[in-house]
Formats: sequence, C-alpha cells, structure tokens
Amino acid sequence: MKVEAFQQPSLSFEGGFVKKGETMRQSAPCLTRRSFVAAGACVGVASLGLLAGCTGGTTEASAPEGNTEDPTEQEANVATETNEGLAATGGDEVVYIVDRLTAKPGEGKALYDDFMTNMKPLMEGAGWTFVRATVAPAIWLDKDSSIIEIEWTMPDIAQAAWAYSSATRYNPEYVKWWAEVRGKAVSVDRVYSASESYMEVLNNV
Amino acid sequence: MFSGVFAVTFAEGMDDAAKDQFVADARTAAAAVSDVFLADKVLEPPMPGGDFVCEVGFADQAAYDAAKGGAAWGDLKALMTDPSKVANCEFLAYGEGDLLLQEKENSTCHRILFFSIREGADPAMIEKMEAHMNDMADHVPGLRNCKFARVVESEGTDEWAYAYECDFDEPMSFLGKYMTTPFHFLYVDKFFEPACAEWVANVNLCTPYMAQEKPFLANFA
Repeated sequence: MKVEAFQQPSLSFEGGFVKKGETMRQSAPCLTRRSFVAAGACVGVASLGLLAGCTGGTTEASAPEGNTEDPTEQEANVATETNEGLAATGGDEVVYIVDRLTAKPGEGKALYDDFMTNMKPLMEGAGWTFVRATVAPAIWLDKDSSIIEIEWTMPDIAQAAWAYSSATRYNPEYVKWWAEVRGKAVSVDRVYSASESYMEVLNNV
Repeated sequence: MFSGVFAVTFAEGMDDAAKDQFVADARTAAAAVSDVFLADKVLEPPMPGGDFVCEVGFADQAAYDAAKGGAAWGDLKALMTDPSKVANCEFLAYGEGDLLLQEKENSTCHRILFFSIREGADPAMIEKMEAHMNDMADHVPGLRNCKFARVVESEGTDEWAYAYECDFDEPMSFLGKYMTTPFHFLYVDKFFEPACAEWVANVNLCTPYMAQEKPFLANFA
C-alpha cells in the first residue's frame, strides 16, 4: 500500500490549533511538545482538564476574583498556595515525589551530605519544590544502612512534571550524579504518589 | 513490516526553498526503493532527532536486505547524508517487535521515539520496559497503533537500541492525552528518569513526529 505524502493534509481542529483552510504546517500550533518542557509557556492552559481535552478536573485552586496578575505569575502563586494550603488545610492536590537512597553500612551521613550539597541545590535551581529530608532510623549507623528520603511536591503532571524533568534530565551533572550514586549506595529510587482524591483528577483524561 | 528510518538535521544555511526541495528529492528517492514510505519535515523542529524524517517500509527484513544492495537505496542514503544539505543523520532499522494495530484507515500523526540503553542498565528493568511500553495505548484512546521493536541496525551519534513507533488519530492526542495521562509520567517515564530504580534509557532520546494521511503501521497488515 503506497502512502501518499505529497499533499499535506488540510485539517481543522476546534480551538484554533489549525485555522480553517490552512494546512497543519501553515498554522503555528498553540500547544507543542516543547511547551511541556517550559513551565508556563502555554499561556491560558489553566487546568489539567482543558489540556487533556476532558470536561472536568483541575489541578489548581481558582484565582481570586479581580486578580489581574499575569497567568504565569498566577500559576506560580497557585503552586505556592497549593503547598502552603497543604500544610494549613490538609488539601492534597499535588504529586508527592520521594527520592529514597539506601546507604551502605556506615555511609549514611556521607550520602546525605552528598545529596544536600550537590543534588538538592541543582534540583531547586531547576524549579523543584523541596519539602523535607529525613533519615531512618534517626541515628547514624556504623554497621547498618541508613535510609534517606528527600521529599518534593509537584503541582501537576501536565506541565510541571515535564518542566521539572526537562530542567534536570538534560543537565549532564544531574545524570552523572544519579549514575554515580548507584555505586555508592545500596539502592536508589524515586517514587511518585498522590492521594486517591487527586487520582480522580489526574486520571480524568 | 520492517522499517529503515533516517532522522535528518538540515545543514546550516538551508532555507525554506532548499528544505522543500530536499523533501521532494527524498520522496522521489524513497519511492524508488519502496512503495511504502513517509518523508517529510517534522511538525516541531528543532527536536532531538532532527528536522526531517524518512521512513521506508518493507514486508520483512529479507526485503530490506535485498533493497539495501540496490542502487536506489544507495541514492537515498547518499541524499540523507549529503553534507551540503545535512548536518547530521541518525539511521535505525527495526522489524516487527510488539505491534498493536487498531486502525487501518485514519491517522494524521506519526511519531517515532528511539533511544539507546545506558551502561549498566538492569536487565530485569529492560525486560519490564519491553513488557509495558505498548500499554500506553490502554490509556490514550487516540493512540491507535503502536509498535515497540529492537533496533537491528544503527548509525549516527549513538547505538540506538529501541524504536517505539506510533500512529495517532491526530496530533493533539500526542500533545495532549499522551503527555498528560498519569501512566506516562508516573509510570512509563520512570524507565527514562535517572533517579528511578527503573532507569534504563539514555537521556538523548529522539522523538520526531510528522503528518500523515493514513496509519503507517497498517502497511503490510
């Protein structure tokens, strides 16, 4: 079967992705894959539901009426409000991220210091929201492994997730650190989680 | 189906007219190799993997091997690697793999993800990735066909190991639901994230996507 690719298809989409009468190539898409890697690049996408084309669900608290802030500032403020609200009200429309490092016996403090000195600033500089770092058990062990957990939050998986990952994953220092730490630790892992109620929002696609 | 894919980055100084001519020449050259091909500029340059993709389809690897020995293939490859027009060309050839075929008529977006495997990757995690990549279609209704295959020939800047090829009903299914389903970032992407225990893929993955009129993966079906 021959696939004819000489004639560009003329398509129209609701929402202005391709203007009527224009081919796909002539219209500049308002949403591109690159927009997922630049937080706030796709102005006007205010909810996970809108981006995903579904009818409900939002990852953000509504902006106060009369707020005339720039949409990207609104997104940043909502992310801050979300995390502050999490502490104050127990609301949990965020994705939790836990980096779990299991140190070799007696090397917990060194691994903890390595992360806090080298990786935490890199990730925060890339826009990650640090919550806390904990050590289990709460005593440095000479003869057994310490488990270090570093907690972060992420406001959504529509834009923030891809912005967070692109800002780190394409940094050679980030990749090098995580590649090398595997030789220094018993194990490393990153776990993403969310409340069951937020799952309803995340999965409403 | 067996595919040979050229992912090209245009040389500096190639203006729009020169790029359009390159596309026309590529289509002529590809048509001389096989009736089944796609050749076009990608929809979102510059992307890792370049500005232009030419994919040529064959019934099987034997047909590909036979074509490789011919003058037409030589002409196509010469165009894809012409330094006056091309700054870089990644090439990969791959076969059947795991194919999910749901749509034979309607598709306007074709995408090829290809990547290499990092040194020291856990074989168990590689196996897990192989088992679950095509599960993306369970969570993205617009992902109509997909094929996950091991690369058997690779040329370019890396030793490409896998190709994940997709036919979407429309580009917005790729840019929207494919990117926002939790199954993608919270599960499949862990194979691509250095901090995760599942990490197996190098970060220099390429993911060009392009327009099409019919689902490419339905060829020879």
